[in-house]
Amino acid sequence: MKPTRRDFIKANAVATATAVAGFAPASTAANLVTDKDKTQLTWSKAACRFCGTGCSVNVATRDNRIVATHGDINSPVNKGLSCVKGYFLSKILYGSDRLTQPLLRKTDGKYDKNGDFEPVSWDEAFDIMEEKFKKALKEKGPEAVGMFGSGQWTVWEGYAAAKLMKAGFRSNNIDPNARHCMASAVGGFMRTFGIDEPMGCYDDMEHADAFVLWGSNMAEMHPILWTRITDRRLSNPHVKVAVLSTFEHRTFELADIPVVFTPQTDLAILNYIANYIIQSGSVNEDFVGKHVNFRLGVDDIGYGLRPEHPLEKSAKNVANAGDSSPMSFEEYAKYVARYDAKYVSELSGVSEAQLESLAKIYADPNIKVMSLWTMGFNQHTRGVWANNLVYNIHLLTGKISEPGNSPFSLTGQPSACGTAREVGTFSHRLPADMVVNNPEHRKIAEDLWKLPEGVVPGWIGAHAVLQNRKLKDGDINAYWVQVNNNVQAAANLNEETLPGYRNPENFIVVSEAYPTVTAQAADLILPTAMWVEKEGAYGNAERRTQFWHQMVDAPGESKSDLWQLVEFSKRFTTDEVWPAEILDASPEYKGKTLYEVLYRNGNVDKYPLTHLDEDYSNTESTDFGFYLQKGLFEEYASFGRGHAHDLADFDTYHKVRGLRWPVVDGKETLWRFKEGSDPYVKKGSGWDFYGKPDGKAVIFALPYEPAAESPDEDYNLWLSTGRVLEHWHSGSMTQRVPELNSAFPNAVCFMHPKDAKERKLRRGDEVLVQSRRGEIRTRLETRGRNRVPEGLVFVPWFDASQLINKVTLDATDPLSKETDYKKCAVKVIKA
Amino acid sequence: MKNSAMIFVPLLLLASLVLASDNIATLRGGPINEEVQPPKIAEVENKDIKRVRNYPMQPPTIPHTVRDYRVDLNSNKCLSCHSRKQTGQSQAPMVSVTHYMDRDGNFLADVSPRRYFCQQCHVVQTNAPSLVGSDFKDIDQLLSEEK
Amino acid sequence: MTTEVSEQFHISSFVVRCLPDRLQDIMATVAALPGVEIHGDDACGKFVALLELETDKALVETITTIELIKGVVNTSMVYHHAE
Repeated sequence: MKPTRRDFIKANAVATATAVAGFAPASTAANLVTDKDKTQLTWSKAACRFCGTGCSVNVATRDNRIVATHGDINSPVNKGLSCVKGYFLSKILYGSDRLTQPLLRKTDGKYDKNGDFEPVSWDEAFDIMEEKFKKALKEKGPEAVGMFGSGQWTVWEGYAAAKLMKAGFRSNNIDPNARHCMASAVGGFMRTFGIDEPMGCYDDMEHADAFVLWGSNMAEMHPILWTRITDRRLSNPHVKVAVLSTFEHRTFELADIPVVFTPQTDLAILNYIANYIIQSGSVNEDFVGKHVNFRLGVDDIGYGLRPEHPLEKSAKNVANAGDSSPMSFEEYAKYVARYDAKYVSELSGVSEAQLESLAKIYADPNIKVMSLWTMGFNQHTRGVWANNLVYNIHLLTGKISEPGNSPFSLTGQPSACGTAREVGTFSHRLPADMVVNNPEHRKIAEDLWKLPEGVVPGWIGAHAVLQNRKLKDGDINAYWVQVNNNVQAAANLNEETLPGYRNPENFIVVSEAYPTVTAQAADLILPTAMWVEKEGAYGNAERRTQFWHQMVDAPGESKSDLWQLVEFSKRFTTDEVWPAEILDASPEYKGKTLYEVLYRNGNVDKYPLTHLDEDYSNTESTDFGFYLQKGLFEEYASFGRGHAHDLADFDTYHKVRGLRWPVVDGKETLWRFKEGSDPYVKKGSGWDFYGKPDGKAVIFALPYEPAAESPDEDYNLWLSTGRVLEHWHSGSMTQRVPELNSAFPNAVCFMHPKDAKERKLRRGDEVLVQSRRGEIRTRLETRGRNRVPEGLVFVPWFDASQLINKVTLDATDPLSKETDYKKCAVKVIKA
Repeated sequence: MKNSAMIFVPLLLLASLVLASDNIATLRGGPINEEVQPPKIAEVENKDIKRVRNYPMQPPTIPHTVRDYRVDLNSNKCLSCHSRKQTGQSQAPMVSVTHYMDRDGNFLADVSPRRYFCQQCHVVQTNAPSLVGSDFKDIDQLLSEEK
Repeated sequence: MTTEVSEQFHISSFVVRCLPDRLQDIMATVAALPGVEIHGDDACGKFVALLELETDKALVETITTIELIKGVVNTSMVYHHAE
């Protein structure tokens, strides 16, 4: 029963009288609590649990519970602000359906793939898991096991997972959900600069004269960074904001130059700008001459679909999609010359005048410009190209690595940079930008890990989309999912993911805090500690590494991903998982458990429990008997120190509001590749793109190519999917916060009123959104925050009751293997 | 009699703990491969009654509809009632004092541009029911339980 | 606004002082009166009475009844709300 207003008056009446009588106030009293013991809260800092902005928040705890959160005034990122999700962080831990004990599908007391979930002990859970992983390893080898992790893993969780999979099980079948999010950005960085992550930082936002948003709805997806841009724009009238998207959204509210373009034509617009810069004589010739190489990339590279798909069969360069050859500036100029205003205007639907005003921002040497992008570029079948092409226009003009001149790849997840990318949890990567198919890199990893040569395999593992295909095909049989909800995220649920998870040959383990649809599709669910229920570290989009302490205990029997990984490693010996020739060559490893060789190797167990901060608990370290997080972090940091990925020492991060790597001599780096601000730049060079052997960044000649699937007679609308401000990703945390759920309770299909009228549909009608792969039932929305153009609909993906990933297409960028969630063809009909 | 009761009770407990495998996902409430009827588009609560905050730092939720409220480069409809100079006439709550501070904590003459887009922090509430209960306890509830 | 049962209501709280050795008896008598709740007491002979009644007339009658109970020293109204 909700207290009524009358109850409130009565409580006041009693409280006042008891106070007058001199009694202790009754518990329902609404009077002021002044007792110091009661009013004092313990406040600690933490990185926000949600997006890649990496706001710092203050968390108040009392009696082992979180009671409040607010933006950290001392954080350079957010200076006291949070977005609405951040303000409600306190409540994400407390959904009443938290999982508190392992659940296994059983029939008649025994594991059964088709059974119902029953609570089991951790021992029983690990017993069946051990059995299934050992069976897969024994029968088919390391390629039959897999793990799907996340850019929401803490740094040491991702690192411990990568070690267990790559060195322990000798399987590179580990990938993070950052594959769905940042893989194209990584591909862009590696291809253009030879080193991952932005050269600039958030300070650029206070220095730029113009902001160009390329497929990023920052107002909803990076709200706190948007406050910085809003501040800059409104405080300084000369500043201009251009917003490009395939539909109008909240970010357009600040746009001086609002641009809605036809899906996929961003590639042409980027080439038009490059062409404009050249034609108008605006190339920074000195910069280009000293710091840039030109290369011609191969085209017609396919769409990352299954090899038997007609689109893959007809593409010329599927096998060598990443190839390129040197070219001259003149050849490059000729290459982009075809992207003139008339052609690009017709293709994109953007007026020539708008195109020119956009190009002038880049061409004018007196305008400092920041380009920003997220999923509009990355979730794109030519995502790496889009990233390459935006660097092209910054490199042509030399507008890079200086305050305000900044091509800036915004990050989706809180530790897509810090964990997924820097730690190397991708199927092809090792820490510090190293890769598994380079024998020298593997040797470095094996040495730092104190492991015998040859343990880390050289084959590139299955990426996210391929993992689901391999599950369906029965090639991966033992599979572990942590910190993500891929049954709701991965495209083409009906044809790939669900058949894969439910394939009778497979055993699927899902570590989760809440019963998500991924948990529902699993065979074993492990209850998992979240956020400040464990000591953690995240790395944000501006290379800032941030730490937090464990502040409360996880409910019931929940354990952190880190505990699960390390504890599970005790169940395997080297003899069971490593080949005899490796053990014969290094007999000292024989008979050891993976726990001993991976986590008790003298590095990870180096720091005793006396190093723990006595004000905070640390469940994992107390359990294993050494400061696990510190040992993992310091071993990991040894990969990057001296190699332009330097991290500070562990204890420092617990004191500061994060530091931006490389941290050299205690100093963080704000602008990389620029002399004076980056200690790795050679003296006298001005700029030094040291990720490439010759110190030069690459401008790539790459064309416009159409999307994998475009509207046609049968499926006559573009479908774009994405997020909303109030919900984080699949909504598993935010939908359990009553206020956030109430603010945006269900997904809807945003449609232009004319398109609705043509289909005899009205706002609120129940409709089917159908593609060649599946359909959802939803409600039609013709107003509200998103104003889509005719011919395009937008459906957010947070809603588990309306799984739009049944509809989306699992076409990927052939280079980054990242899915295009922004473009496929659908029809919308009345349900 | 006594014996059978003792056996019966744990069995019952166990049975109630078994979760049907196709509907454990609370936010879906059914099999993954079936489509359910979506609820009607929720209506925004428009009663102008303040709601209790979970903690003092929580931005208050908006107790009225904001349909067609323009907040853009040219105008801010929210501030036409909630800015300091308008509250006498509108009787709406004034935006809090923190909103007048810039990034470095200096007070400005008017609302800071960094706070310009109100709906980044303040959201409406609808009549949609909660899908899952919340066990969050605010500080007063915790203090009363401490006794 | 939640619908109230009656159109009018009065909520009042009183501190009642009485002879300490009569406290328990008096509280029992008071608690039995319609529309009255007891909230807290101490050994010195004080307790808090919460009155929730529909008319001001009923309120006055009830408080008079309390004052006339043997052993009650005095009553003092602390809070009153009517609507």
